[in-house]
Amino acid sequence: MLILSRKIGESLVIGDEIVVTLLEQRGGQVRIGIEAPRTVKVYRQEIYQQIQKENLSAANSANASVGQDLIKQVSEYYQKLDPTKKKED
Amino acid sequence: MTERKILTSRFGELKISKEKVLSFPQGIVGFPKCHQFTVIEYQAPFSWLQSLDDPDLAFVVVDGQKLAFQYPYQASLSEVIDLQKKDPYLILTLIVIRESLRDATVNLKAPIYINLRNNQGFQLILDEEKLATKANLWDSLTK
Repeated sequence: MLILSRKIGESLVIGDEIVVTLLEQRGGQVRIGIEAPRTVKVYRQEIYQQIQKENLSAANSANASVGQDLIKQVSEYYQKLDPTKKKED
Repeated sequence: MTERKILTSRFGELKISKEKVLSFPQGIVGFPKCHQFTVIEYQAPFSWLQSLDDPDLAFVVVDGQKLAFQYPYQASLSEVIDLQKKDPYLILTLIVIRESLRDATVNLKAPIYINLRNNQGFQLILDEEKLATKANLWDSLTK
């Protein structure tokens, strides 16, 4: 990992288009400003990892051993639900 | 070539016509190398989102427009998948099947937006407290 020291108000440039600025330090927290193109999505790491994990679960829960019947099963279950819980199209 | 053939683990050989190929320039979170998908076996409001790069990878998805939570147009996608306000688009959310169908969950925090004008898709992460990653599927559907 590259480690650099910066003061509040100072920035880092990553590549040609990303600028990370340290804005404020308060208590045990640091506020960071990020300028990046809109095609670059910036997420807090724990949220990104949570989605990664959930996507993996989704892929595994629908793995090939379950078979292609799964949609049919899900759909049949949905049809049988209490009609008050189901939108009538 | 107007048709693509792929040998999938679930559906055997699929012939996908060009207009059904959805491209994800940035992949899907956790699957950055999977850039092409297709939607198959639609049984409203559910379907498979099958990867064309990895024949073993498919997700069970539900039409986001059938969920109680109404996803708004996301202006930030204009530069990612060129999604303009007037474009028709599809929202898919990923389902996790658990021990029983009753316990199936849907990830409300990370909907997939697909621009139907150019067939480009992107999975967005919405950093909103009220959107659960493991919401009960049946409770999340519109009543």
